[in-house]
Amino acid sequence: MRRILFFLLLISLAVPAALAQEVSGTIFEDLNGNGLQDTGEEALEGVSVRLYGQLDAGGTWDQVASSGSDGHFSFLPGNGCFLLQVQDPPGWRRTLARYDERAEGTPGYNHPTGVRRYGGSPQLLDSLLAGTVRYTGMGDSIAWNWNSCFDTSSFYYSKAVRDRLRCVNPSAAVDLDEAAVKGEHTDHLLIDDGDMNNVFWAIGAQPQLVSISIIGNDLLGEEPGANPTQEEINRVVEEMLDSRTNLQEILSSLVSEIPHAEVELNTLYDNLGYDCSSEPFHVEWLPIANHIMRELAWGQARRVTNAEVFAEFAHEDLVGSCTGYTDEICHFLGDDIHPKGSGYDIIREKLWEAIDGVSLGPKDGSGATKQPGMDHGYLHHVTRLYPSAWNTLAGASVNDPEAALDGDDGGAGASVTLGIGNEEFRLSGFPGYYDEYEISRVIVGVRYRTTGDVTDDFYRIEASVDGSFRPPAGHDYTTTDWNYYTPLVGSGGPNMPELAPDYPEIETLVVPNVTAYRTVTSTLTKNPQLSADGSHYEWPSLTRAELGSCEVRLLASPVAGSTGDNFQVVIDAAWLDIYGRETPRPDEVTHLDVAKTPAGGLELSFDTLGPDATYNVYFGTLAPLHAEGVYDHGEDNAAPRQCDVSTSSAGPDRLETEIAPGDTPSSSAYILVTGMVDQVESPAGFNSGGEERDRAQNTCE
Amino acid sequence: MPTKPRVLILAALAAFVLVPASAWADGPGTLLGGWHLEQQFYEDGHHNFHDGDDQLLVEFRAEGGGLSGTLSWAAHHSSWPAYPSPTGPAAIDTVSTRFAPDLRSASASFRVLPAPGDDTYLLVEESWQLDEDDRLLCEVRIRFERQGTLRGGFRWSRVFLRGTSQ
Repeated sequence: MRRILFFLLLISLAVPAALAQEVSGTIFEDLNGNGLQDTGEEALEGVSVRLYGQLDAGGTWDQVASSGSDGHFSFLPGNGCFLLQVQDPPGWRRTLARYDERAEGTPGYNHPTGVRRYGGSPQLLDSLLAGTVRYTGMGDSIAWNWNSCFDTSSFYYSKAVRDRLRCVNPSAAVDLDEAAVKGEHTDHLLIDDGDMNNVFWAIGAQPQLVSISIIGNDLLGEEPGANPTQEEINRVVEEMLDSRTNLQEILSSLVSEIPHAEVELNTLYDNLGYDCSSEPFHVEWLPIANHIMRELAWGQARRVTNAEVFAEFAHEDLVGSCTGYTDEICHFLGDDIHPKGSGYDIIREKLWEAIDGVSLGPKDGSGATKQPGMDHGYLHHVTRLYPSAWNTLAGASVNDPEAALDGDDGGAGASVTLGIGNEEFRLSGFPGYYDEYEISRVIVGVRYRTTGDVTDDFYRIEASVDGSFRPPAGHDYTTTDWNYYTPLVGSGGPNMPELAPDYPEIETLVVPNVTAYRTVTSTLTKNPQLSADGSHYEWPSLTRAELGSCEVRLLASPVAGSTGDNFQVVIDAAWLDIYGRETPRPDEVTHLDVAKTPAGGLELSFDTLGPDATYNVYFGTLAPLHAEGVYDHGEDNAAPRQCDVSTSSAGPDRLETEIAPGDTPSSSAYILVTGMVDQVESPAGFNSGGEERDRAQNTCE
Repeated sequence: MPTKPRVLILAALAAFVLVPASAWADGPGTLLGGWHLEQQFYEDGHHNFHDGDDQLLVEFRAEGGGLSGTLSWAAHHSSWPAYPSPTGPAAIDTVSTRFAPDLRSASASFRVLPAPGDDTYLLVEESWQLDEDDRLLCEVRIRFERQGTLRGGFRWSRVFLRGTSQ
């Protein structure tokens, strides 16, 4: 009896301890990409999750779990240091760390961890277990950990993350390149100046982990005063757009040229953006700069993770509640920018979380013995859309242009010769009629290579939602009107920003000569909108119509006044990857019967698609259908379309609708009836090969 | 916001105004006299980062045919040039100062020794110039040196006005 009691006592002691040292989370569909599981976002089952590390009690922890039907996974390892590795399910892309805000002082807030904002670096654990992690800490004074208060040492947080990685696998060689240089801009990372703080050096070093803190100085030097003029706003926005272009070139080059590297980008905290006494510029524009950084990171060919510093520091928004992290900034004698040591502790934790690092017990920044919120959101890749048209501008020439319209043609490409002017090759005609896709995010991509020798007359590749690519001359930027293009290939270059070109040595292209096809991608975005209460920006998804108006262009970007290089850019394909949801399409409407009414109208009857369906009627021109088997029922043909017609029962599973005499075609025409269920329209018809015919003409919404 | 060390600031001001009156007799036309930091900008930015919470005072004096000065902040005082830190003047070496015969401009350069546990030297160059509006403009260029290699830096543009309070 005594033995049984003793055993029960052991259990009662052990169970709470084990539960308290839990690492758990949920894998879920993150349709809006905010890093949080919102209502209606479903759990993902069967996702493989591995937790590896060292236990404080001694020994290695290495377990693999699979998310359950509720998306949940959990481990009970005990105190120690670990990396979580989530295997991205095929067809899904991990979203970024959560960026919701919670004010300091909120019940439950713990400095320096605050809200845990996990990112994910799925290759890092493999590198660590292979025995070597070279970690390059690039960037500016924040990467350096400078402040005027003298209360932290250089590369403090990078060293801490290095040491935590060593803790996870003590037998691995984990070394830090202290590459950051105080005061540097995005431009500096694209100048091969002999130091370590540039992508050329990093590509040579081939690290397994790169962390970057950058962009703050780009804006600092151009920031306006308390009551900015429009001219000052224009200058700083152009600088911000130049920085975006530079960052795209930086990130895409690191991703493509260091295949095994996990890349991490700090978002940009701004204490002045959350201080009620500060200038409107910071409050209005820094959330935009942060969003740009998030989207840049997410859209790379291999997703870059974010240390969500911005959200953790940001607790003052456009409404202005003045509860920000002012205390985390060194205010001594007008520093007012750099975090104090305690602020750098926050960045250390966000960086650790960005790579899915987890510590339990004394090794955790807040001493927590459980991490129950290691949630990972994913977006579903629903389809890839290719363009259907091309054209050249300003004298560009192209061989085999149609090859750029097909990404599955075995690598055949359109070979484009540019010049030293404004030559362009454009791709357009992306289908905008796929109403079964609920668009959350769009990634634009291009696969290209070069032939010949690119030396100084460079090229760029860009995308634009409406084909405008640049604002009209003399445009005045506002917070909701600045986003005219998405850079893909090419930095801002030495001539940008136009209003203040300042880095003549910056390389336009990190890899000008591309011998084998290279894939570069980025998130395709448009202007934000201000929320109804003015408290924050909303970033609407692209519409189907905007997919249809999207263009991708390759353009000449000559730098030197030379006679021109002899090279071609070969475009294998450009595409739009649609992320979101797919709704099932209704079946084709069948068994259509047509009869004339006594009044001269038409009576149409057909099989029903069910109680939730509505119906559209199109009138097509008959001749092309007869001659070429091509539907032609666009808006200008035969008779106007009739969307959402009224119907009545025509017997079991049959419906009928009547077309008034004035709405019927005056000559021979074909009649097409489509159904709509959940805003998705049924097919127009199929050819003998089972291929759907020209959906673009189905224009009822 | 942290509680301001108002007592210390008052003590510092009290100490500062006890400087011999002869040092304050200097008027417009030279940088001699007492000044307070009014504005501070990073690089070419237009945002004033000096919010007035921390006072930085400087007094220049003509002594023995040369130029001397005192910097004061919080409860700390140091002869010019100096590099202020919250805990007092940072340790510096390789000090060099120059001034124009008309006492309208001066410059200094020095090296700030690494803080404990760090290996970063700060190479500081400051140039002081009286402008036409009798404001004292001070440009501070700070460069970082680590293991014999320069590792970037930044520039502050400071504006001092006459007097010891804002």
